[in-house]
Amino acid sequence: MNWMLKFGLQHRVLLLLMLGVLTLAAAGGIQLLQVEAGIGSMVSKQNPDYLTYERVVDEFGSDQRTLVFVRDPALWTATKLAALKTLHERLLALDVVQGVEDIFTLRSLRGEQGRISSQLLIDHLPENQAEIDQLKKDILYNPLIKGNLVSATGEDLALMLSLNSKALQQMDHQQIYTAIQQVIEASNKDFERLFQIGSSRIQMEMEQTLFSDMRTLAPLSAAVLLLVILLFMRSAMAAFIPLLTASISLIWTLGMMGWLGIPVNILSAMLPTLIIVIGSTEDTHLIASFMAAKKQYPQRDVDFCVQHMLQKMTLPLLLTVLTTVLGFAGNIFSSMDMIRDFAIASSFAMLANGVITLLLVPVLLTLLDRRDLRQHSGVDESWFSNLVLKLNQQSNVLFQRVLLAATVLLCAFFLFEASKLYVSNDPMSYFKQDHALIQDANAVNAHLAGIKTFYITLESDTDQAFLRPKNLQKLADIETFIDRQAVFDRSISLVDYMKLLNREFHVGDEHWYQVPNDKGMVAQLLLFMHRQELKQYVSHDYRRAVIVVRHHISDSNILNRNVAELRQAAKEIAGADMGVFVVGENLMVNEQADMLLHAQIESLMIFLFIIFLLMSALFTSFKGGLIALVPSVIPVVLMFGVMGLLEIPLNPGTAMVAVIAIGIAIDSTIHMLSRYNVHSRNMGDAVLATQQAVRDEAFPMIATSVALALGFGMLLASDFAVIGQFGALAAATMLFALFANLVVTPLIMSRIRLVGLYDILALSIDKEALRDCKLFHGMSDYQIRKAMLISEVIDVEQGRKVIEQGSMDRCMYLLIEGEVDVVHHAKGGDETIARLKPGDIFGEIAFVHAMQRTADVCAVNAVSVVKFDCDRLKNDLRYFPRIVAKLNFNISYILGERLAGTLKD
Amino acid sequence: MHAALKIWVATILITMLMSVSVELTPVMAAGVTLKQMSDKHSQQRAKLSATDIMQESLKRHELYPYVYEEQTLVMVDDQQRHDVRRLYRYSRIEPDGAFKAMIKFVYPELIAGSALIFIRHPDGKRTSQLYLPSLGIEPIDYVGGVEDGQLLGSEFSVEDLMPEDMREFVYHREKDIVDADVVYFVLQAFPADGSHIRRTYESRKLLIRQDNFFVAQIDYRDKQNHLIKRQTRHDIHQVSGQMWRADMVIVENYLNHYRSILKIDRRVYSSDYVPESMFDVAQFGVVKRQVSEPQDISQPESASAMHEGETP
Repeated sequence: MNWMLKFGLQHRVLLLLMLGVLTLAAAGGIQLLQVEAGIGSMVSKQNPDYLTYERVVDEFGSDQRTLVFVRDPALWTATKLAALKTLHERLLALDVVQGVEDIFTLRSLRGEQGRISSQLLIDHLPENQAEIDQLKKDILYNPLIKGNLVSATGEDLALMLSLNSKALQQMDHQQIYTAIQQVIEASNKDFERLFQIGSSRIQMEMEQTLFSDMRTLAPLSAAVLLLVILLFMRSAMAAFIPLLTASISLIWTLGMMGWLGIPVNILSAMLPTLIIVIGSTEDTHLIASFMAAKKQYPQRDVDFCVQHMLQKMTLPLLLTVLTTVLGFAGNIFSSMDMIRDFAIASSFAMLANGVITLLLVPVLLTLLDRRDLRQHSGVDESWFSNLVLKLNQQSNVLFQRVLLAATVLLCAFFLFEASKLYVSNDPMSYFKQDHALIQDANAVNAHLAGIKTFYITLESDTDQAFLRPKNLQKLADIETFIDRQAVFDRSISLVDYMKLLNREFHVGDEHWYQVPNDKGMVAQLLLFMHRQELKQYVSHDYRRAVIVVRHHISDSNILNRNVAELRQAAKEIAGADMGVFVVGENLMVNEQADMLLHAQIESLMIFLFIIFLLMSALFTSFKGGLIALVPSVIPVVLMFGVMGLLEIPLNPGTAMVAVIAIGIAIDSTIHMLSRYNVHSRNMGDAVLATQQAVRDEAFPMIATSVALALGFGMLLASDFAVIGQFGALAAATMLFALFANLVVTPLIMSRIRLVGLYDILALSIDKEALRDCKLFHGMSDYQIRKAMLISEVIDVEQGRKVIEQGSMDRCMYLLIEGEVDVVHHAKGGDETIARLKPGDIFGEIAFVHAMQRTADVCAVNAVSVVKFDCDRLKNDLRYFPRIVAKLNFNISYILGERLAGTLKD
Repeated sequence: MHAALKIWVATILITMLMSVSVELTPVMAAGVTLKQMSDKHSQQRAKLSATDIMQESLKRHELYPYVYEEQTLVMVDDQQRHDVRRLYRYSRIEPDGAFKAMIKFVYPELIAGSALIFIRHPDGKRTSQLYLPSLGIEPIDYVGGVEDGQLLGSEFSVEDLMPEDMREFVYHREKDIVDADVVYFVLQAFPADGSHIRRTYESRKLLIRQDNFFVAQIDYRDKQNHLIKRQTRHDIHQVSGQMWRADMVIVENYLNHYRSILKIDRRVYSSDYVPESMFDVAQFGVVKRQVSEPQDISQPESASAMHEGETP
């Protein structure tokens, strides 16, 4: 990887040119972007009910209709009815409207002694109030209209529009909405309240909100980012660079989406913010490292500092990019198009941003104004570090245990709260409660049957099955069950019409409001229904019948539970000889909620497993992998707890927080553990190493976490509730992760020993010298490197003592570079017993038995020795049992040889 | 035999020649050529008012007092699925001008015997009665609302099944049109002021063939002048004299894209087939049972019956 970065540095113009060409090519794809804000993208095409749903819709008509809601206390007056008629005619005159179902098109059926009347409810406008009152009475008399199209008080009324399929193919939902809205606005003055609600409006509102979010969230995030960077780094250039890389990444991402036909959906509104906020952390790390190098090596030129920065940061940055990409890609196998498309787009965005940052930032740093970067050292990092260190330094064992116990208790409490978590995937819940669409939907739901619809289809193999009273009774029984459930607003089927016809043909006697008991009667009564009315409820061959259920439930949990109950009951009522299907787009969207939960758990588990494997490999220990997960799991537990506590549902927005949060939080853990490793090796003292690691990492960790939290917090400004919830939870999770990484991670890591894979690979050893070293006899090159890394490497200047005669310690040394003399001080004078070369070991007696050193070991020249501390190795036995056991075996062997040699002498 | 045949042929030719001579003598005497005669007819037709045309059409085709028809009604939905019903239709025009008609279903079996009577009284008032076998023998007064409303699940309306009531409309003549070498009068019919009959359409456009004054097509339009329904008449043939009839009528609903096709399988002009008692409410159930017997229809027609091709 380094060669590529160095190549970029050496061929800056070529690199800039390549990036420019790629950006231009991507920009071309932006024109091809499609917007998919419809409910369709929330339904999985793999859903087993999808085909049935399509068949039902094809046969019985779409559940996607537009409702025009009218409310006026004085609706039943000549003036208002005339205005209503005008509205009806204007709507009907629209090309896009195929039909209007309302009080002007519905027929009334009234039976009296020797007389039956089946006619339009209103075939002319009533001329006096008495006629109007009678009309209102007639309308409310009809059980199929009352509560369905006209409220019980008569003050609220619905005009159901069915849209022209040809016009639907030629017009988009924006045009459809606008055409209907123009008619509504012309009649607005005539009624207290008048609005439309339906799929075209929902889609239009979603698109408008999406574009509005994209317009507002990106600048807000950029502003916050600028402020945070300026606050922490005090450099305009440091603020400019992340914005530039984020902009290019955004162009690449949108271009990729355009070229590959991945549509922009409501979750895409977050993309600019995510790229700016998350992407900036990598830029910030690079720039901070560059500035540190400038500070450390004031005399060296910019190129040196950039090289130094790359050497130090490339691997951690690649790892953090990888984990972040994995975090976003965690949902790439989601069955929901919306989440899958977002997962593809966002993981690509993170990858593109990582690549662009690693390629472009070094070049930009060498090209941009160096004074700007040199002059400012940023805020006083010590203030943050000291704050954290204070907590750590005061941490005696008891305090640490209390802190860990408190964390465990906190997690337990939040885990309990997380059990209250519920899932919701209702499209209407995507909007904020004060959104006009939600207000309007609530108005409809308060007075009329809900605007959401699903179907219960009964299917028989027998021809004309639903002309038989026995089968019609099954429909009636299912509807009775629905009434008993008392959660759905309304159900209508062929049976309701049959009951009404039966009653009215029996002089309106309520006793006859039942399914006719004779097949001939059913067929003859059906003469009074037009096929157009019947086709909504029964198939042409009368083999299939459908019950249309309307509701306003927004909680997926309640809906799914009741639908499952209904499905079971319907199957039992229908019997084994009939197929029963309960389908609806709204149901499938809500059923996705269950899948969402399962997919969320699945993605989380897979991602944790991947992170575990990655960390285990990184720290060459499964225990290390497990421990590295702890700081990632804590914020997720806390996040789910907060969701349960604040009753925030798991939805397509919030469902993504966990994996994304882990993907980001693990970055800080990697940084922290890597620093601890370095210090641990150099210092030998776990507590000191931990404190130093915290001192090193606290500032960048706090800076990035605060920036991320603020950046995610900006999503609260979204008009989509789901995005706002995502933003708030992601921000909170970033702060939880900060707590975990600064407080819990140090407590844990001070108790463990880890060796990084990179350190093992990068360790420079004199293979020649160590080849014959008895200490490493029988060990692989990898084990030798690891053994050296779990020990302490000490550099000793010429003439200094590595061991002093008479001192007491339990260490053994391996000389890896230079030469040492073993000098014994005696009364008769000093005697050089031996001169040792690389590969030789010394001090092994004190290692196995506590005793005073019998000789000095002095550096003949500058030497490097590996120090094996007995107590530390005992401790390390827990973490690296094979290597320590091998070492102990070899030490025993060496001691045995010595003993044998002594006896021989 | 050969000589006899020659004489027979010669007699026919002479008779034909004489007939033509007799017909053409006055014309020729007046010095008018055939082309001039045709031009004259055209001029006469051009002078006809919309009301004249409508009256002539009704007079020629619609006012035969007793008609019995065996019909097949095919109802086609927007997805081309068919429903077939078979029915008998009886119509009478009483001396006082009252028009009575009854349709009775004979197929499918489940609805066989169901019948609907509609009567247009001399004062223009309409009444309907309904008979459903499963409800018992008593007919029920049926109020069907608007005149052009869909009748018993089909796209036909009561109005489509009755002769035009010219009192209810105001007619305007529009420019003639020619379609497939046939010249048509074009009339616009608007509901007359003060009409108590309620309709959902705003106007009708009638296409009437100039050669026989037969209504070939009726377009129904709404307030926005959108075509909402079209009735076309097919298999037109001359019944007798100037009377023509269509053996197939199609109504196409442009709002729901449904169609109803009415095929006349058999037609008899005879008072015997349409006795007055058939419309007697008191005897309704009994009469229905009598006429519902298929063998009644297959009996040899009485001497007063006129089948298509005979002069009424």
